[in-house]
Amino acid sequence: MIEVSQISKKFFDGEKPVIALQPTSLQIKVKEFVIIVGANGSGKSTLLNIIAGTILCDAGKIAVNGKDITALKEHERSRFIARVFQNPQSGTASDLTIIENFRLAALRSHSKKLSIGIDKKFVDFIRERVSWLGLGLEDQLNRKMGALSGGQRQALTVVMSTMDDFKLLLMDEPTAALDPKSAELIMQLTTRILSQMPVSVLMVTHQTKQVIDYGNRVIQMSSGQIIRDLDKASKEKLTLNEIIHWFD
Amino acid sequence: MEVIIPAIIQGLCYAAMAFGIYLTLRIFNIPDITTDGSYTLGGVVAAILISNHWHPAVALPIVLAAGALAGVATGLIHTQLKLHPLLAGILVMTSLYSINLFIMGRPNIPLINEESIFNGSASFNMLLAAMFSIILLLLLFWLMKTDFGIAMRATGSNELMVKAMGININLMKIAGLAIANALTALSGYLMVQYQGFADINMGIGIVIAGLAAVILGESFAVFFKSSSIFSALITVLLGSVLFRLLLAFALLAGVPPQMLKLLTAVLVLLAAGVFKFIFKPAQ
Repeated sequence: MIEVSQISKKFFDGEKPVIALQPTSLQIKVKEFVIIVGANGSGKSTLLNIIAGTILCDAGKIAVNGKDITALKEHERSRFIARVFQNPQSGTASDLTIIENFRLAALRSHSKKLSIGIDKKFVDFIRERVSWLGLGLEDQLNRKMGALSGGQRQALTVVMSTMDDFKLLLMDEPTAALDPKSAELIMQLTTRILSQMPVSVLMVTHQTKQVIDYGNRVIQMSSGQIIRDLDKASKEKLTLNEIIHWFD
Repeated sequence: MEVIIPAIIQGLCYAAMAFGIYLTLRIFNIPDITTDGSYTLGGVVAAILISNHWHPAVALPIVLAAGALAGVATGLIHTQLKLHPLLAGILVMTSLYSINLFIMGRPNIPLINEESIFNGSASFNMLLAAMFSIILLLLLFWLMKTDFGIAMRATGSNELMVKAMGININLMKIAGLAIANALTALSGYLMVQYQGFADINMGIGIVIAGLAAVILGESFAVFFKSSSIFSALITVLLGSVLFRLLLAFALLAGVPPQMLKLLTAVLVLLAAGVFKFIFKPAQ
């Protein structure tokens, strides 16, 4: 259970304060796949970044399973939070091989020790996980990440998030830079993770069709606050047209 | 031969520093020029201890710790006070000039009759220096392959991802600068024993020798097909030796010694700038 209570954020444009997020509360239960929509500047990314710890909130509290994480730094929150970024280059390190990227992901909540962690057992395990994708990458684990396409990298980033314990997967427009086929793969992968692990997903998207096809809860943000919050039952009745009219 | 072997030995002694430059410049993408100060620091600490009849083997860990401390200072200034790493390096390097002079108590310490690891024939010394640099290369290669090493390499590659992986970037950078400057101090330790003295000015402009090794190494790395860490470390080692050989040949060919720094700069410029257009390496 993720509990966000009354968090708010102001930015300063010179002397003038700009309210990025009004006091906002949100509870996300285990197995919930929450999709956030909203126009540019509506506060979606600010909300996501505050939960991730990339930016600090001015007021409010964030708790994971009752534990207050508001004061934790970004890298300390990674024990609870896995992330997939909009830019497929952001979630992986280009200069490292696929297997080395997975090694870091496997240690997200552990210390990185002075010992060689990539052994045969680890490689076999990763080979099995990467084969989920059906992209044939399991036989190229020693290739540099930088040599792969954006779609391949984003898909690997999603699989990497499953390598270590986490409670919440934050996805900031994960398919915005991908072709339709890769985007589909990312969405299906996310659904699969949610069906197999006791976690929650919070995803920002601009693709209204994804709201219809995926997730079990949808939230709309506008002017720095949540203006719609539909559960699974109400979401299933939605049509594409209705969602488009939300933005009128 | 009386020119070539000393040049090779010097190149091997400077290899540690070149590995350090490779680590900061290529792994962390941080231009660190603490080097001039930490190289002299390594030499000065070694000279003081050895001239007080400490065994060189006992002096070694102290030299490494001193160099690491200099790196930590630069790392703290860069990460905590958010100064540009170049400025942080200049500050520490400048301070080290006074600190080194303070440690020495005079501008020059001869080590003529003292214990030295280079106490055999020229070929023995060359073998010893080669052994040192090869052990170092293997150690560094191992380090890069450990979980900690992977986290270090990721830090230079993608900070956004590294934070999401629970890695403290500041700690990584400080550790990287500490290791790099410990390596640089090691070069100072080796050189004072090889040349038989320590001098307060021995480190001035030395950073270019490390840069030259890395960049010369890369300019012929295009002939290797691999871009692995292992081949990168080998090219740095070869680059360090090649650089000294080029300087030795230049002197043999009658280039006046005062022109050596200019020649060095031109060599680096050629390697970094011109070869790029001729060979067009991938990326």
